[in-house]
Amino acid sequence: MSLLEIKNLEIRFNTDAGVVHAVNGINLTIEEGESFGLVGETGAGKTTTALAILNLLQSPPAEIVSGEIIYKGQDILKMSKNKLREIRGEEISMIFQDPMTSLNPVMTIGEQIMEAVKYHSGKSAADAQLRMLEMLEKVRIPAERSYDYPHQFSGGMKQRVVIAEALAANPALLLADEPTTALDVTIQAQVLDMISSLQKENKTAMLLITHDLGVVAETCKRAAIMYAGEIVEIGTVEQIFDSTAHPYTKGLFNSIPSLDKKTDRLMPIRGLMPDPMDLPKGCKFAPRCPYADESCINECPPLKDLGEGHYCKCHHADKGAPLYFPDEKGNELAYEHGLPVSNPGNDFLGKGDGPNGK
Amino acid sequence: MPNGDVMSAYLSGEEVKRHGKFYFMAKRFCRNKAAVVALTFIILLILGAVFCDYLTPYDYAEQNLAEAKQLPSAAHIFGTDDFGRDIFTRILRGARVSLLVSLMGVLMSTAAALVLGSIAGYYGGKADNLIMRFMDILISIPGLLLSMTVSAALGTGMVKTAIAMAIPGVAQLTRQLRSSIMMLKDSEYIEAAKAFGGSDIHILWNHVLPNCLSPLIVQFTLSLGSSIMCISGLSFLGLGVQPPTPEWGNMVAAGQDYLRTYPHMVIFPGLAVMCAMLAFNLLGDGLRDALDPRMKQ
Repeated sequence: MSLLEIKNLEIRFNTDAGVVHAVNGINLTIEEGESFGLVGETGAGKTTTALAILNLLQSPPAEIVSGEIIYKGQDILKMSKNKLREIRGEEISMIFQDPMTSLNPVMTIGEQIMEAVKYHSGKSAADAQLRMLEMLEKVRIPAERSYDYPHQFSGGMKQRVVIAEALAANPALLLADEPTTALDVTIQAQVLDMISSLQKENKTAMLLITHDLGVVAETCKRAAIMYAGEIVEIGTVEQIFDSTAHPYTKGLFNSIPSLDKKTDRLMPIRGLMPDPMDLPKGCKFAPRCPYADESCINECPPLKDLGEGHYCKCHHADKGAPLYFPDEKGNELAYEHGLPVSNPGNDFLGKGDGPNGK
Repeated sequence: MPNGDVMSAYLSGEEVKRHGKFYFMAKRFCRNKAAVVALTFIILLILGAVFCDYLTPYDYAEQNLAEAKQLPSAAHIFGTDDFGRDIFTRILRGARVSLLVSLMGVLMSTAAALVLGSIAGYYGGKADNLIMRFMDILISIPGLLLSMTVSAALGTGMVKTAIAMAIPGVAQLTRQLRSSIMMLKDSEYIEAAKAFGGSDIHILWNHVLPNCLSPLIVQFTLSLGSSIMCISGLSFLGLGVQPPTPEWGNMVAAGQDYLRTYPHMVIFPGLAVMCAMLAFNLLGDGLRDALDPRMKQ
């Protein structure tokens, strides 16, 4: 049995301006101790999914239309308030995006880490203190600093405190919501390393939400690509990077400039994500997709099984085929000045051998 | 398990910093000279009020018509009133009533506002609507008028006057608290506390309210000042504390007939009201800065 199983989850926000379809029927599973990456642009529904896993969505405006979130055999969406409180922190914990705002400014960081432990039954103050010191040691913050307030810490240290807090009650599943977005690049690597090593040490499963494919390649075993509230491609990191199937995923890889090739212009995916209040009827990516045809516009593609756990939601799913985007003049253009690229994902993982490789 | 070194570093840190919170608060407070002066004044006033029977050779109620209407002198530093009673003694004695009643009143309204404001701000919805519409009604009635009505209905006396003072204060404090809580409850650290499994009461008490403390303290001390003013007003009108118990307001009322000839009978109780109000306002400012750990050391 999987640790976490999301089945056909559909979430919408009923706002004054209209109904926002944030998450539209996603399915995913996370095994015990596994790290899973959830990738997508801003507004793709990643954070909404994470908050739904903790049943923390404010309702109203949020409404979970259908679906189940099964954690260790129990549906989180049907749990009582008390049962939820037992799960939160001790079973499933979360690292929030911005360490500057996710710590209480009037409590010392020691108190805050101890709190996360004390919320759960059977822990005395002394136990909580020991655990707090242990966690501080693990995230390499000197013990005497536990008396300091959050404003006395740097951004990276704050995020380490948040990590300590999130892992203090030893959860089985950690939701990391863009844990490095608010940090600069050098600190990002440091924080990611810390999360990964602690996660492996405690055998904690992790759902890593990010828009950075590089972070996924480094940290995760499996990943899902989200677009407009749907999972468009899901599989192991190797499957997604080596044999990219969905045009959107290919577009994402294309838009990353290469380190070892001179790039004059970036290769963005043309257009914008559709308005979540007014989603296209067929494939959500069709308006931006160079392969889109009649069937894409009229009919929502099913999640196609490409074998070995690799799924793709596209009528034209084609493992590993290169992607061509027409430029302004309508000429087809791959990412290096018209030279065909076997698969840009390969190049990114460092496995490819140049533009004409394979 | 943390090793021995970590533990001892932590414990030595604890020894140094056991009183740290209060030490730093006091340090920050002391840097605000006006607040220190205000606090000193308030402490002296409280001591004077408590020990007024031993501090002066005169009795606050005993009449001595031979010494009536004397201007300030060495024997009577604030002079005497129309019955020959020492005004200094009566002001000290009057502080007992003013301070005690206003403190009782403001504590009552703060307690009510804590409950009502927390429910309204944190839970929202129907309860919020009900509470806030009621507060709107309260706030639409002028404070002194409401106090007068309640005081007239309940009768005179310390506790009853305190209740009369408390009711108009509730609306202000509740509004203040509700808006601070509403602003804070969506912040990420509250969401984080929920994600770590905190209960509503715990989150409210440990995370939300401490962050609302600084506006609340300012409001609290401001209310103390204004309720001293309000008690004086009530007593001035004859509704609050009854003679012969001295109160600053009824002393002003008694002296107003002699305003042209013996102005000291009004000036000194009036100054007492003014200084007390000013002191509480300055103290409020100082406390707000001292209690906020984000202020630079």
